[in-house]
Amino acid sequence: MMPTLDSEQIMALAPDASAAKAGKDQANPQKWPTLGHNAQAVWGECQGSSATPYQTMVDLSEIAYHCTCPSRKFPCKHTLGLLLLLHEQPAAFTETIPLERVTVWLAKRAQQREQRSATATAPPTETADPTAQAKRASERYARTAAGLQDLELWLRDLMRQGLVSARSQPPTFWHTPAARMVDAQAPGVARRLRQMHTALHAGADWSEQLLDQIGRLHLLIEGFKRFETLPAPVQADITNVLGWTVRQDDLLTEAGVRDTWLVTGQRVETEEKLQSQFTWLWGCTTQRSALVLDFAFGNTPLDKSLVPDTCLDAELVFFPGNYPLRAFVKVRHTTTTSPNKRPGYPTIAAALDAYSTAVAAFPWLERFPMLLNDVVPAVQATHWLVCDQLQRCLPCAPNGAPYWRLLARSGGHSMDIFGEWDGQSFWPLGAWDVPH
Amino acid sequence: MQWEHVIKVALLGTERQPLTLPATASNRLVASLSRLDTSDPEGAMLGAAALFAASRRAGWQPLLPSVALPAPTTAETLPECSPRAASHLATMLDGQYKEALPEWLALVQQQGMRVPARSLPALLDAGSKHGDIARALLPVLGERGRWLAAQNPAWAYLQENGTWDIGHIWDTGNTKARTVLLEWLRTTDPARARTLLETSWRTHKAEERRTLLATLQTNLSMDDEPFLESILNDTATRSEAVHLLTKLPPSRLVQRMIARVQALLRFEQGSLTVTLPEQCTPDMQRDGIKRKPPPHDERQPEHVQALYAEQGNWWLLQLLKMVSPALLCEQCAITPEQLVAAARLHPLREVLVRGWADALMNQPYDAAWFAALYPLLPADVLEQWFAVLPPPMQRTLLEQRLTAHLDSLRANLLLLASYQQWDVQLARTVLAGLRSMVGETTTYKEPVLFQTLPTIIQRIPFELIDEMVEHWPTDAKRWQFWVSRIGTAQELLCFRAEMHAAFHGEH
Repeated sequence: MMPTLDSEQIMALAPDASAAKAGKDQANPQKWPTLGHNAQAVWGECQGSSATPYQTMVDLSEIAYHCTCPSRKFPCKHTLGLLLLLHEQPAAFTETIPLERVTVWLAKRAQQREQRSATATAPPTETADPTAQAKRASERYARTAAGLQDLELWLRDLMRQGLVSARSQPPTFWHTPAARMVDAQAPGVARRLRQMHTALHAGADWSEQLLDQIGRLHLLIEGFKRFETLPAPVQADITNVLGWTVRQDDLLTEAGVRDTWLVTGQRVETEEKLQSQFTWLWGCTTQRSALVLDFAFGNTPLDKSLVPDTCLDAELVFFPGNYPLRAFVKVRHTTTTSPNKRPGYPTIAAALDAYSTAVAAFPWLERFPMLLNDVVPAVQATHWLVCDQLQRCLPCAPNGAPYWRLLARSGGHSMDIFGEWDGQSFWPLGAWDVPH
Repeated sequence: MQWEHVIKVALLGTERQPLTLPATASNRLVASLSRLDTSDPEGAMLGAAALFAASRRAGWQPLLPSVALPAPTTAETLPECSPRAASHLATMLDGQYKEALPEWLALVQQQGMRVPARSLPALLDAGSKHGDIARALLPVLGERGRWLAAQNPAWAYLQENGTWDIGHIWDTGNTKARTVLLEWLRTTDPARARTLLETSWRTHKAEERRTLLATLQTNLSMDDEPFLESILNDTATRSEAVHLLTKLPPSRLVQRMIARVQALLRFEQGSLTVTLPEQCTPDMQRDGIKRKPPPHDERQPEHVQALYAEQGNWWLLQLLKMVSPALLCEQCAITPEQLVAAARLHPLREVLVRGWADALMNQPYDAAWFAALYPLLPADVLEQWFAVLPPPMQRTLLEQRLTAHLDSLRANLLLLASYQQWDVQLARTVLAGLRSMVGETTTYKEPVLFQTLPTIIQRIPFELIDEMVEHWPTDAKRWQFWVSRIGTAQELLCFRAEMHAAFHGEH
C-alpha cells in the first residue's frame, strides 16, 4: 500500500477543532461496515444519519479525498476518521476490488490530471491585445513611481526627525503612507509599512529592526529608479517586493525542476479574513528549496494537497527572481516514501553561509528555509536554541508550548529540524528523528 | 565607523546628530559607506542603514550555548503504548472524556508500558494540576519523561526520587509541589516528611497546613504522635490532627478519650447505664470535641438533628466516635453481641449506634462488630459504611437487600453506586429495573436516581455495552428528562471500553 499519514498529519488536515474531534469519533471499525484498499486508494462505507451509508475514499498517491456525505467541511469527519483508522488499525482494511463509486472517482481524477498536463504543454491560445497591455503596464509603472517618490520624502522626514520621535506618533503616522502605497499599486510595500508599525514595540532591539526595514525600503526605491538598467531577475525581485502579481498560468510553459520533493513544513498566517499558507519543499537530489503559496478568503478551504512530512515526485516551476524560492507544482507524478537520509545543511555555519548568499542576491528576503541535519533542541533558562554537533546554536523565536513537544521528541538526541530563519530567530516548522 | 553610531543618529534624527562617514576604506563595506554623499544627510543615512543592516544580516555569527547541554536520554526499558492507545490519550488531553485519564494511566502501568513521548508535555502539565494524575504518571513516564521533567521547573514535582532537591522544593514550591513531595517522602522516609512539616509549621497558611497535615495519613505511626499532640492547640488544623490521632489507639488523645467514655458508660449484669456529660470542658475542646452541633447539617436526618439539639447527646456522640467500642468490650470482658443487645434496649440507642458506627469506620474492618451492629444501622449510616466494607461483604449485603421489587432497587441506589465490582448478572438485573424506573417518573421525583444514574452506568461491565445502549424507554413521556443524563454516561462507558480494548488487543 501507499505511504500513510500519521495522526498528527491527519489532524493537521482538519478544517477546525470540532471536525478533528468528530473525526476521532469516526475512527472506530464498528462504524464502518465496509473497509477496503488497493495499491492506490483506500475507501469505506460509513453508516451515518441517512439511510444509505456514506462512501468515503482517499487517493493516497496524491492525498486527495472525496465523501458522499452532505457536510460542507473539507475534509469531512468521515475522511479524517478513515485516515485515522488506516493509521491505527491498517489490518481492518482488506485488499479488494474498489466500490464502483471509487473506480469512477479515480478515473475522473486521472482524466483531470491528463487535461492539466495537456494545457501545460500547449501554447497559450489567446493573447491579449498587446497595445492595451503595454498601456496598462506603463500606467501602473507611473503610478508606482509617483508613490515611491512620496515614500522617499516620508523616509527622509523620518530620518531627519529620528526614530524616537516616530515612536510617539499616532498609528495614522504609519497607516497613511501604507494606504498611499496601496493606491500606488504597491501592496507589498504597504504590508511592510504596517509591519514596521507593529515592530515598534517588539522588544529591546526595536530600533535595529526598524532601521533594517527602512534600509530595505530605501534599496527598493533606489532600485526602482534604475529599473530599466537592471537585469531581468532583479527586475522580477523588485516587482515581487512591490506586490505586483505574476499569474501562475503565464509560467505554465516554463521548464520545471523535477525532483523528489520533501514537504518540510507549513504555516498559515491570517490577516483580517485572508489566510496565507506557506508550504516549504526541499528537493532531495537538487538540494533546492521551494515555497508554495496558497491564499484563501473567508471560509474557502486552503489547498491541503501538500502534506507536511510527505514526499512527492513532481515537477516544480519557480517564479523568476535573483534567488528563486517561490514555486508551484506543475506536474505531480506520485507520492513516494520519505528518504531515510534527509537532505539539508550538515552544520549551522553551512546554513548561515547559504543565508548570506541568499541575502546578497535578494536583500529583501524575509524568511529563509533551513533544513538542519543532526541538531539538538535545548532550553537554557527561558531561551530556546537549536544546537549542532559543533556546539554552534541558533536562537529560536519565543513560541512556548510547541518547543516542549519538540524537546520531548528529541530527548536530547540529535534530529533533523526544518525551520525559517528571519535573520534574528529560527522558527521551527518540522522535525525528524535521526536513527542513532 | 560603527553600527551603534548609525543607530544613535537614526534614533535622534539627522537634524540633531549628523552622520559621520569613514574617511578611509578598510574593507568593502566601509568602502561603500565612504562613497555616500554627506551633503545629503538623510540620503546618506538611508544608504548607511541599507548597507549596514544587510551586511549585519549576512554576517550573522552563530551563538555558543551558555551552559553545557544536558546528556541525552538513555534507552527506554518499557515499550511504548500502541498508536490506538496513544490516540485515546490525545482525545483525553484535548479535554474529552478526561475523567478516564487516571484509569488509562493505570492500564499503561498494568501492561508495563510507557506513554508516547509527544504527549509528555501535556501530561506533565495535567499532573502539575491534579495529584491523582501526578501519582499515576510517575511509573509510566519512561526515561524520556523523567529527562524532560528535569528541565522544566514547573514539572519538578515528578523528578526522579534521587534527584529531588527536597529542601529547594520545600522552600520554593507551591502547596501542590509540597504536597506531592510529602506524599512521596511518607512512603520512603516518613520521619523526614514529618520533620520538614514540623520545622516550618508556623510559616504555612491555615489552608496549606490542613492540606499538608493530611499527607501524614500514609505510614502513620506513634512516631508522629508527639507532633500531632503538640499542635492540638492550633484550632485551624485541630480536626485533622484529631482525626489522625484517633487512628493511633496508644496515643495520649485516645487514652484521654477512653477515660472520659469509661466514666460515662457502665455495663453491669447485662444492662448498660449511660451518664450524659455535664459540660464540655476546655480540655475536651482541645481534644476536638465541639461545644455545639453545626447549625444545619443536610447530611443528617431531621430526627437526628433534633436529638443533637440536646447538648449532652451531642457531646456523648462525639466522645463515642473517638473510641473503638471493641476497647469497651475488652475492658468489661463481653462480646460485641452482648454490648449491642444492651444498647438496643437503651433510650439513647440512636446516639450509641451512630457513635460506635463512626468509631468502627475509622478502624480496620471488624467482621464481628459489623455483624453485631448491622441490624441496628440507620440507612444513612449504612450508606457511609458500605463504601469501606470489603467487596465480598458488599456483595453479600446487596444480594440480601435487592429483591424483585423496584422499591428495593430504589432504596439501594447509593449502595449500588459505591459498589465497584459489578458482574453481568447484577448489571442485567439493575438495568432492567432502571429502565422501568426511568420509564415511569421524572427527574424531579427521583432525585437519588438522577444523582446516581451516571455513576451506576459507569459500573456496567464492558461486555454488556450493546445491551445497555438498547431497550431504554425512548417513547416514554419523561424520556427527555433522562436522555442527556444517560447519553453522556453511555458515551464515556463506550470510550472506556474502547480504551481497555486497545490494551488487550481486541476490537
